[in-house]
Amino acid sequence: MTLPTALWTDIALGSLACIILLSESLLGPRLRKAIVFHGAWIGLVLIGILTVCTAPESEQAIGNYLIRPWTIPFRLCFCIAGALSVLLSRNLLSGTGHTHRRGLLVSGGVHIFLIICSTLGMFVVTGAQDLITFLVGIELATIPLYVQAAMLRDDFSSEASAKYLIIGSLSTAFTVFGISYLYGAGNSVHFDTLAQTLTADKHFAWVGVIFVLAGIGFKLSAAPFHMWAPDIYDGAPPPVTAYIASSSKAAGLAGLILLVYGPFQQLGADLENIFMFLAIISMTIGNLGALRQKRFNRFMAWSSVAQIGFVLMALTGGDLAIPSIAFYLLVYIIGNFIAFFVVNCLASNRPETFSNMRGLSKQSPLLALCLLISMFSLAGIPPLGGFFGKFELFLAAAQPGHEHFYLILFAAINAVVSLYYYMIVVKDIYITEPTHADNSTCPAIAILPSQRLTLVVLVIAIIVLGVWPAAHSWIFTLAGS
Amino acid sequence: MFFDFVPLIAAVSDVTSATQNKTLETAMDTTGPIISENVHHFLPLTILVCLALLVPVSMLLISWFAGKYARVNRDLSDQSKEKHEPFECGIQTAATVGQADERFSVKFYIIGMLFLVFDLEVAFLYPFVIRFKYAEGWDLLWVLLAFLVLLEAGYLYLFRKGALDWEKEV
Repeated sequence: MTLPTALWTDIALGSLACIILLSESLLGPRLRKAIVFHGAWIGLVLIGILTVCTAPESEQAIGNYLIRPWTIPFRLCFCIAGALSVLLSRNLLSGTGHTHRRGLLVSGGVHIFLIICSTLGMFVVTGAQDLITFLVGIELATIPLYVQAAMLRDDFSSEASAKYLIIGSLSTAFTVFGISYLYGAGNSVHFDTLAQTLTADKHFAWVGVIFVLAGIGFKLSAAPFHMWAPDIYDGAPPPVTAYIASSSKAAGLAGLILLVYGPFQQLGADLENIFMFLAIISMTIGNLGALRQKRFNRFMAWSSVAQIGFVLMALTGGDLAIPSIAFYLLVYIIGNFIAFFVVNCLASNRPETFSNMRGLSKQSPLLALCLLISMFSLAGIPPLGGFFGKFELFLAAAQPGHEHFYLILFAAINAVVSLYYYMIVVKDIYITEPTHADNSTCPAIAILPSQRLTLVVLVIAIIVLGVWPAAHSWIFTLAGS
Repeated sequence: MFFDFVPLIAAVSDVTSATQNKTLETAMDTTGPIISENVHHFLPLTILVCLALLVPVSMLLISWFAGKYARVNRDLSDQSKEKHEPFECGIQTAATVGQADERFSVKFYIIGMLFLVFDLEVAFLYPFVIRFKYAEGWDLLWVLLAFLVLLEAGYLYLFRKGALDWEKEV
């Protein structure tokens, strides 16, 4: 049995999960702390490098597992998000001498192990070649997140986990029900067979397609399936929130692209209408929700709903859709993590509300600058990566044969609206003077050296992605365009 | 007639053979007397529904008639008194006739979950047996070993964490 070279990343990820779990249970306390934390993030970074190094020229298959060249940038995104999430949980791990307003994680080792498991699930989603593997991948990516959301000992965390579990199970039920209809209509669960047998005139197929899209819509928190997002973002531990906001969405999108260009390829024209509808209401509802938020995590949840709207807009486009979404996701993940790193530092001793962020530019100029860059990137201000990400999405929706100019106009208006609420954050940290009450409740901000270093690296990365064309074209080459 | 289900199950388990079956879609689109032609498909289901109704109804009726006899001889002896008590799997009767919210030790749930997990893992070993005669060289062994290593890693973790230690305080 010869294994395809690209499969070694998946095997390495599974082995890393085993190693972390075994070191957590077998090693002594001092060695365990070092190996579990540093081993995990270094391992994930190395697997990210391995992913790029073993990137296949053409599709490599083993059984019903198919590694496609275009999924490589997505896999890179999962590894980066996993490593960043491990780094972000540094000041919530017990035994490192840190304290946090909401207490420490119940079991840091298991938390890190679950991050790696979830990343492995996302790898499986991108490698799926039949609906069963696809479902198993989605479940493996999601179930660890239910557990991780409950890792803090306060009521918010338990509430977030319970809500996430129930909504997540509901979305899985939708997906499974949809898959049963796809099997009934297409007579197979294999993607290649389904691509030929699922035609637009089969009504049964459409029931399946709608249900599967609804199930994935929950994972993406695309409107109208977004209602869970604000509560769970607010209640889950900060690293888990950041992970749900970035990697989980990236996996959902990779799965969606897989289906749209695989088994659903004959439904193209009608699917475009569905994505147009989802894009328009996601943008609108996300923007309206984000306008009046007072708590940072809830704000990020609503803004992510709006961002997903822009990504879904690109899916109505042609060939440019995959590389542009991959590039946008990378930029989005980095921008998101900068914001969550900053807010995690703040949240260690105060609630993460906008009013508590006033005067941040004086207390900690570095954190304020990082948050500014993150907000500018998410809003899409030119020199940063976020601008080119959004630009590519607009470009993808305007490809010959897919000219959706009204949709693009609508998205442009929404981009302007979103600028308003991102600028509110910047106004709070730079311009609004803190009131006396704000000042008295604000202790000094502690920032760990490792997290400071990570922040600087991320900020450099987001600027480089914006100004250096080679970085941009490298992602496009990886995605096979 | 029960065996009519067998091709269906085989089709689900074996993806490649599925293309030979008629699709659900074409079956729906066919004009003409579908129900009368395909009535034998529904016969096993009908029998199953009848059985499902018959079993609980007969259980209730038998216990009612048999209990009638027991109730007449209620005061015969102290020994038969126990027989009139509701009984459920060794749990004290308070749980069956009193409040339903009696509290159990969390140990029961942990053991219950672990049992379910490992029981299911055993079910996953059956496909290896089915594939055994098609195996070439050492392939199957490596696949099996990879599966078992993952399983044992989990087992080692819960063993070290004391999940199987009944005496340990939870």
